[in-house]
Amino acid sequence: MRLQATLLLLASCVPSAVAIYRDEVDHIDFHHALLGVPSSHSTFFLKPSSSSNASLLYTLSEKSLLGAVNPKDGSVIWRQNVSRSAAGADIGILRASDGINAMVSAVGDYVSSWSALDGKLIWESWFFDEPIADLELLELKDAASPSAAKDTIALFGSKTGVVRRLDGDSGKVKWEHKDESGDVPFQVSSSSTDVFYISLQSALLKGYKIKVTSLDLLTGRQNQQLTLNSEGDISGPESVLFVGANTASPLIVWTDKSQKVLKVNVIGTKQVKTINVDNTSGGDIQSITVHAPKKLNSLPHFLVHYQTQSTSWAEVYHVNLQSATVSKAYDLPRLEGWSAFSTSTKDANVYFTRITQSEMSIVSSASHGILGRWPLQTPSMERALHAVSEVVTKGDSVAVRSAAALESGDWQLIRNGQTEWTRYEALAGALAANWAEEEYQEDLAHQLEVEGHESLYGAYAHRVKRHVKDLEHLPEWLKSLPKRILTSFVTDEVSNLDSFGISKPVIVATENGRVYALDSGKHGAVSWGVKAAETETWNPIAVITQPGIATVYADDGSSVVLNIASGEIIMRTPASTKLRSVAVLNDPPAPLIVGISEDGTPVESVDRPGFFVTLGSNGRLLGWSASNNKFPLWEFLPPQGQKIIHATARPAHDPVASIGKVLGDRSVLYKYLSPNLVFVTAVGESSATFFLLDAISGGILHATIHTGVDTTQPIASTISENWFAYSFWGDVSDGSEATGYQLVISELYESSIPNDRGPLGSASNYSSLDTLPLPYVVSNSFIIPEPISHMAVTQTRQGITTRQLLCTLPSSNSLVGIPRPVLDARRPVGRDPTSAEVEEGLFRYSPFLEFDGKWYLSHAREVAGIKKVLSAPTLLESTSLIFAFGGDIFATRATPSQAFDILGKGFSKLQLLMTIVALTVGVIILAPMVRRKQVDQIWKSS
Amino acid sequence: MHLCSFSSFSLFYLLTAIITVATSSLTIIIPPTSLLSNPNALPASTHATLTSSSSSMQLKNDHRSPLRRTTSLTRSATFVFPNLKSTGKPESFLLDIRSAEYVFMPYRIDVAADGTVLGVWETFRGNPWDNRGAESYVLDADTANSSDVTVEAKVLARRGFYEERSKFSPLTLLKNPMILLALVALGFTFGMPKLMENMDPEMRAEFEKHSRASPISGATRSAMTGGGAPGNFDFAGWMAGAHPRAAGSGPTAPQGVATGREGVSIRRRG
Repeated sequence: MRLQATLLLLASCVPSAVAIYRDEVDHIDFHHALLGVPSSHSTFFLKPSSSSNASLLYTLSEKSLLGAVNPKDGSVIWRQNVSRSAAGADIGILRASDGINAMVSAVGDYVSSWSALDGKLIWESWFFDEPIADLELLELKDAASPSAAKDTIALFGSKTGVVRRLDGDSGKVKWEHKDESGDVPFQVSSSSTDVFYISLQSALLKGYKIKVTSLDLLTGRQNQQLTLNSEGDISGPESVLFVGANTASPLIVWTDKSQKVLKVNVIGTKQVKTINVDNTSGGDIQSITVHAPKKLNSLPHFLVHYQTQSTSWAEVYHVNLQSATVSKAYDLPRLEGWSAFSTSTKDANVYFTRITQSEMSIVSSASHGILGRWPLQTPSMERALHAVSEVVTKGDSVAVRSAAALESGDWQLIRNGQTEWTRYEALAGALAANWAEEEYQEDLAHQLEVEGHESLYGAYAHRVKRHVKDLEHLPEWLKSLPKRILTSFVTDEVSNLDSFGISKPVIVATENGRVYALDSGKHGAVSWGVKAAETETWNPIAVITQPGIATVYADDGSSVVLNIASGEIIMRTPASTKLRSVAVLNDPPAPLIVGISEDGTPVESVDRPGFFVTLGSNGRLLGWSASNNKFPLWEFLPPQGQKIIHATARPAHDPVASIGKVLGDRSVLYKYLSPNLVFVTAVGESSATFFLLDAISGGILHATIHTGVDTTQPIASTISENWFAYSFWGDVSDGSEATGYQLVISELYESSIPNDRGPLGSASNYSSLDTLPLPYVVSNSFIIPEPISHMAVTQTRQGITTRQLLCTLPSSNSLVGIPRPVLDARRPVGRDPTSAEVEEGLFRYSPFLEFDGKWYLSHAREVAGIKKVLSAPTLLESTSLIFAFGGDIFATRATPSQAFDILGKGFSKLQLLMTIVALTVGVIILAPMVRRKQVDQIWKSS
Repeated sequence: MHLCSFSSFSLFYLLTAIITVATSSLTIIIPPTSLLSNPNALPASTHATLTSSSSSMQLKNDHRSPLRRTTSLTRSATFVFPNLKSTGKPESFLLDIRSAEYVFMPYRIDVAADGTVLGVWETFRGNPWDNRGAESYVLDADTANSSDVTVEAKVLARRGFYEERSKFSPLTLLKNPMILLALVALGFTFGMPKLMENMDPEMRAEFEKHSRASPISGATRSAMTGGGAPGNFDFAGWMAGAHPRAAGSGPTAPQGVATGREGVSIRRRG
């Protein structure tokens, strides 16, 4: 009975329907599952299954994300983060073979094999202190088991080279060869009998000789060694242009220093063929790239691509494997602008696809005749850096699809000249974002302001004039009316909510110097993307928007002003001092932005009331007056052995609907509401201390210390209204305590006694500089199942709606919104709530807080790599906008107390209409009957 | 010389690694259950994590330990920790299996100083660490060498992310009492006159006599036929409980029936 009552209470306290409906997915939210910019050497088309002809697009991106993309629509099928290396890993390597459901990736010292179809792990291995240098799959013509997993030949080491053969099924080391000579380990290549280990031997004076060591395939024993005299040409690993993986291209290619002569060696021989570079363009050659097939049974043909500042051309060569000679087959014409070449194979035939600014064309490696040529339907303004292609031949006709990585970081699939899809992978490096405000709203706001300032009569005249002027839109409005009424029965939303600020564009600044605008009304489609930085990369720290314009601030002190509608750059300010962050003084007439330098000093002093709290350079917190940037007003130093890692304040928009909390007996517990609260996290060796400071005086209002804290795990915190929350990993000091991630919530009240406002009473003015009354703090802590890496709070227009604590869960790739009533610090501990507490909405405390599936704002989506979550109010009190970025991009609308001010999808207009129609029909049928009856009655009774 | 010793060290390390791989690996199997009928359908992002605070203390001087902590789901729906580290002192780990949609039981794993698994127990979040649940594995002193530990993971629940939208169905409409009342009234309006017509004259006469005797049904009938109260009905008298017609075969019986019916309806309403 009691249990039943508790359950009933629970149901009544917690809003049951905070989750989203299945039919609202993709309607109120959007998600870009991103991989990062694809790397040039580890991106390819692959048929993962030998039974099916369908191929997928695989990449190991520059963000060390391994993923499979459906080439039809550009959606991610699976992805794995393979940056699990202990050492700082740079670019990774990914290798796979057609028809085999296994791929091997290596990043740093971590080598792993994954199932290509579904991304499940096959094996993984760490080779400590031995970063990977090269990786090849051993392509053997094994007739017995053609689809068995292939062994891997891996070359490890930065100083000492180790070649290992790893078993394809288990990842166990079959043999290893150690190179003790001190050569720079460079590449491996394989043939049907040997493994070639290619290292760079430093020559006597300068430069390197290429040393090719052949190892026995089965035992790893050294067979023979030969050295190529290349010391005049090669100054480091980057000087060698190409080393082939297997007998499809058994080549080592390099040039001399002046890039006049191309030198080609067939691996296993001593001859070096010299080819003169035929540069008639006049410009300096910027890059020479060699494109060769990787599939074992393909013809040993390769293409050399030359690129100068303004032109590009290519030459195709054939290799005779018997005589180990290289001969030129034909030239591809010199064209203006850039070209991107890619190799594809079909059976033994090799095809080269060329993408230029205006067209894509395809040639066979055997002859120079162009098999297919398509003009690009939407010529890209951006240069394609590299591409991968897949060719389908049917009789004489060919079709090709190419995935090109553009300079902007976009990844584009072009099929026969037509752009099929574009993935904006640069968004994976989003560092700052904000919602933009459209300009037309500003116009109306301005008009209203004018009316507010005029005399009564003037304002009235102005208003009449404005309405008369609005009448010119009347015919249009009338014309669109029937359509609007008809469509409103079909559309998802009952009313168009755009005018309530629901679908604002989002401005995102990424680390590769780009700024994008995402249209949240169209599933987050990119409406424009521009290169805003003048350098290759930048570090944007804030995006500040005003109606019509957005300003992006970078950490070098520069800023760029953009037009929100078009993305046009309006203004730039040059770089000045290095900034850590920017502060916004948000009072009228216009918001003022003040940069905060690396050591925590405001860059300029402004003549406005206001204050800053900044994080100083030596782990201290500084308080400043806005009008004085020379000396801080106060400094806060954490205790010895601790350092401040995080400081946060209440959000700029944090309205409080009620100054007190009404208890069950109708008495009031007054909230401790101060606009000047700073919440500071400081960590020691294995402890974390949380301080609540007053920002004006720097005085400590409250402090808690937790011991046994793992400071390497994420510690997140947030503060809003009269409460703050933080989470950390707490461990046992002895076995009687619970271990796990903890979430602590603390509420601040003016006094522990209801109806008491403490020493200040209801004083309208108080000073932080006098001795401030300390808050009465109530806390509850919960054990949570997962770490929280970032916290935020939902914001609504008036603050009447219940708040949600937005938590990023990195280990399950989700975003969860925990309702505040669940996290009430006053939940009764160890007893059932009294009837007065029940009336308040409190229910019994339980130490473990399992995240309910209904709290998951990201529901079944995998929202990975989120670093920051933003929340903004809309004109609807019930609704708060949420935007998460850092890895993936995810945006949704949260309605913590349900969408009480809008008619949702559950409201069926059709049903209402049908009811009215049915009633009308009923009345029409019944009315004559009743009338007849009445008449009969009168006749009978008289 | 230095280089040489370094490489011999790494060789030694490799050898020990190979040996320990063979001796102390921990495999977690996800068996098919009613909640999760096909473990192979779990998304590729499902992973298992071993966490211990002392391992992170280790982090400052040895970067290897945290690596061993996370592993992804394999093709056979298992998690394999191939080499539980040996730090030289006994360790107690918390094993979490993380998936967005399924909630798994957390486990406590005790590892000896040499890296052999001493025991695997279920553990309860928010409870003391010593409060161990059901035992999945414990080291047998006799077969201490063959310690390839295999345990089964337990799925506790499946998260429901979505709210169900109440669908429009005629049945729910019929359950509405207002609709039911309206339907009954409609039935009377159309059905009663038909019924009366089909009755044979004798029966009708008797019925009319009865209904005149029972003021309630008389009133209802007159209300239903659309007219006002019949002229001969003394409403005030009826309200007061007076009997308009003293004569009659059984004046109390119909009234008893009427009150009885009323009582029933009252009880139903309560």
